[in-house]
Amino acid sequence: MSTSTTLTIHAVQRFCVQDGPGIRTVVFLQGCPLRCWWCHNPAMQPESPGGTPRRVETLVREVERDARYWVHSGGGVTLSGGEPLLQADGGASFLAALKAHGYHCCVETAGFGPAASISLLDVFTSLWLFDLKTVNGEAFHRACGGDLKPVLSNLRTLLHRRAASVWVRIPLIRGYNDDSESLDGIAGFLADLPTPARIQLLPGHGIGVAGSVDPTVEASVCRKAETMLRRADNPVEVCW
Amino acid sequence: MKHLLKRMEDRLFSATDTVCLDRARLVTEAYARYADEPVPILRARVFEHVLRNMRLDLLSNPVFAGNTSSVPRAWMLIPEFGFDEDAQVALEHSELKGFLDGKIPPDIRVFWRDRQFGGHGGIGHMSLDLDLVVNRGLDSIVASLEKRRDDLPPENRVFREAMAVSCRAVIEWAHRYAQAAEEAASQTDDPDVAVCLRRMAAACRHVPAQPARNLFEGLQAMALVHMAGVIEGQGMSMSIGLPDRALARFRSEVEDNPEQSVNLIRAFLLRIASNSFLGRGSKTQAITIGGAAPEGDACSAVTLAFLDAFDKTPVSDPHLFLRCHEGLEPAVWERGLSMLSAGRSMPLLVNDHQVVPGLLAAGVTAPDAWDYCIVGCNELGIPGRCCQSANSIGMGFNDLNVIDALVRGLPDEACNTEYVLDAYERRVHDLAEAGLTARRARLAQYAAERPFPFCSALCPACAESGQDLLRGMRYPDLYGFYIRGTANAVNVLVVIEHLVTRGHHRVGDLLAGVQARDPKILETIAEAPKWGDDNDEADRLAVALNVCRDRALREVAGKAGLPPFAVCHVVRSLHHLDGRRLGPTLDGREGGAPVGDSIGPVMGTQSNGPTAMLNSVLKLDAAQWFTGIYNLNLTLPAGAQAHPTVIRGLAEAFFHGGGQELQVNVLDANTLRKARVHPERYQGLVVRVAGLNARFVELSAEEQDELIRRAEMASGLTGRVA
Repeated sequence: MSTSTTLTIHAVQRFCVQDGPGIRTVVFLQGCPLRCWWCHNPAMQPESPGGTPRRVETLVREVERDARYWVHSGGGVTLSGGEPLLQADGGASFLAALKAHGYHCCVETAGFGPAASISLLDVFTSLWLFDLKTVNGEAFHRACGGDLKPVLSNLRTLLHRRAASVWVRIPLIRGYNDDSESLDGIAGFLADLPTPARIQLLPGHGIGVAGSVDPTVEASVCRKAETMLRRADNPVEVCW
Repeated sequence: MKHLLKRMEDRLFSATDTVCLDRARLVTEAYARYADEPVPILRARVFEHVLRNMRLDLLSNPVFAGNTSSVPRAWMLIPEFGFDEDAQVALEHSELKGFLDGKIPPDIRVFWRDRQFGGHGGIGHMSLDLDLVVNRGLDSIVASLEKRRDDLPPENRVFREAMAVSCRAVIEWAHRYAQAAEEAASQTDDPDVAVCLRRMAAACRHVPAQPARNLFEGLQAMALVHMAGVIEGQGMSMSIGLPDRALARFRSEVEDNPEQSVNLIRAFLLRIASNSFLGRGSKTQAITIGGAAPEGDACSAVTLAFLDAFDKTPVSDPHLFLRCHEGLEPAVWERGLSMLSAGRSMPLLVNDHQVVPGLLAAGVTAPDAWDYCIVGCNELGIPGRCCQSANSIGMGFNDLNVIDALVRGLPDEACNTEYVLDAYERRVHDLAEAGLTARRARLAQYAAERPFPFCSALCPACAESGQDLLRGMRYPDLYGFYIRGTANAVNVLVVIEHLVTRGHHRVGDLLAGVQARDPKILETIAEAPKWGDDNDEADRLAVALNVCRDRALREVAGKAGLPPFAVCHVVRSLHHLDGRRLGPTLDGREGGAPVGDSIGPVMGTQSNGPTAMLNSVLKLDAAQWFTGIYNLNLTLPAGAQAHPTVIRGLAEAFFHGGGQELQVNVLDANTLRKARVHPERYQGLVVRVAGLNARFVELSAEEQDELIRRAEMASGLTGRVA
């Protein structure tokens, strides 16, 4: 059990409906080790400034204001970011308190962090929203500035352990992973693993993106990607 | 049938507003002819004269009989109440402003000049006992009215005689339709129309005199009696009550022929929509379905058929309320949710578990409380048993008006929330006492001079005792009390606490800043917490305001020997009219701008999203403070945030937590903008404004702007709190 009782957060958003099932309250943590150029929340990337340290008990009380909507819609709380794996101790304390009340807890991660952090959070996580951008290490490093190996390893671990509690989310970025080769790679990688509960394609859009390159993909590209991934017999949905 | 429905729809909605003088002329003639009769007999004979001689319109709706004027949207006038303009209709449809100017013939105007009564639309806000009509028929009522009642005082016996005359007049009116429909059927070239007319003729020979034998006859009986009530002079907010209960006997017919049943109900809705009092203007004829009865869920196949019919027919008046409770039939709930998600703006939702306890606490018996319905915009009624809780002789006030006047009259050193709330309570007390005196005088005047023998006959306790509905209904003492502007008033209190008491601003400076639209002052005010955003400080003051009002009103009602007033926060479009009469206020509101459109936050002051809004409203004890109901608008953007599971989560959590009423509008600002430019393409777009449903393309620019703004704000609805 973790001992950290604080989380550095960027924001709490209520009434979110696209970060897991039902009506959710999303806690955006401050700080991410990656620097994906299409990131919609670049303000959450640096570990400081921008974050506010919050005591876990206070945060629990605050988010619980919406518990009735979680219960009646099959929703709950989503820990997002930033990168939750960076604050696994505090995150685990937070989720443990919510889980103790029977609430549904999601963690939304890019998967770039120590396996131990995954294991620590996994105890209290009802559903993982796992971001898979590419299976090409070089491309990943170039676009996001990190090492792909722990990402793939963490995803493998989770899918082998509890694939039914994992949604793999693929951001579809123009000029980055919307070509056949990239998508084939992702489909091939997933084909060798237990089937996740859901595969979601998140078509890129320009909202919130700091850079000058527009990541928006065409609808036809999305349909192609959907077909390619479905070929691997996976449940795919496109989240516009 | 489908092409016929489409034709009826087109004919109704494409009709322009004109005036039909049938009723006005006939009433004027009959008032002169029967002037020497006792007033109830006079009223009954006038009613009879109208029904015998008005033109029947079989063309615009050959399926159901029951027109109020000779062609759709030709205004039916009620001269015995006057020719005053309906300010809300003029606001909602700017082209109807001053519509009647120059259209009342001088002889009619002169006749009524000396018989001034005021108002323009009767008492309204009630539903007749249509269950009785469908399942027992008017003949049975006439038979019991004709029994000698030597135990009653002579004036009550006269009133019973007037009721019998009125009921017989309606039966005779139905026979006129039967005759006319037979003739028209033999003359038409359209075989479908001929079939419909023959069915109408056969039905009108039987109902509403006798109990209905099938769904069609049940609907026909309801349409005729409802419209007859309107023609008698209940122009405003006559409502249909609980048709799925009244027609429950025909559930297996509906199960066996779902499509045909839905089509019949669609034609029925179009017939009700053709009520031509105020032309295209809203009459707020509510229909209520679903809900619980003491023995359990009251839904049936008829309930679902009504939902389907509303889904397929773009009527805005009648509007549909669905009574929700924990055991609501899942298929009904799912159908309702999918309609809301698709942007139909109906059904409006009301929670039995909050409404029924409020009615019980006001002395209504359990079987009656479980039989409540919505009347008008969203007020409460019980078919044939109560019309006092909500009617056109309302008492009430605008909270913002009261608080604003108090604050302006105070020196700065005395301007703190404790003092203001104390003064508010005393002011409410005085206003309620004065309102009660005025209301009682007006009620007596109505009962003496403008009784309604026909509508009273459809209220069993009145028929029994021979009294007018304002005196003899089963619950004659449930006095409604209308409240508005509460959200703004709370925000004024917050400003006093934050900026005046703690921030040492001067009230005069703040008000001057608001008047001058000083950006600095407005920003300072905007930063103060706001009601409706789940802010505990603001919400605490909302609770305090409601406690004060409740205490004062209970004291006044108690002293008068009355049950607690049925307080309702009901708006329709009055938030605009209230606002026009009010200068700038301490909550930052510009002089003349509308006040809040529901019990929820003032538009534009909310930042934490819909769950926060609902949480705030849940801090109000609805069953205690709003026994007459509140209205709550929730606008969601089309798309994921309006998915049926999301609406279900919001509505169920809200109702489970003690919420009372919820009006879900799913709007898309772009669609609304397009509808404005190409109205011909968006004829079916029905929206919930504040307290009324309307076809968007028919609304005034002011109301359209308000909805577009609301839709724009809803698109950024996700609430950020830290």
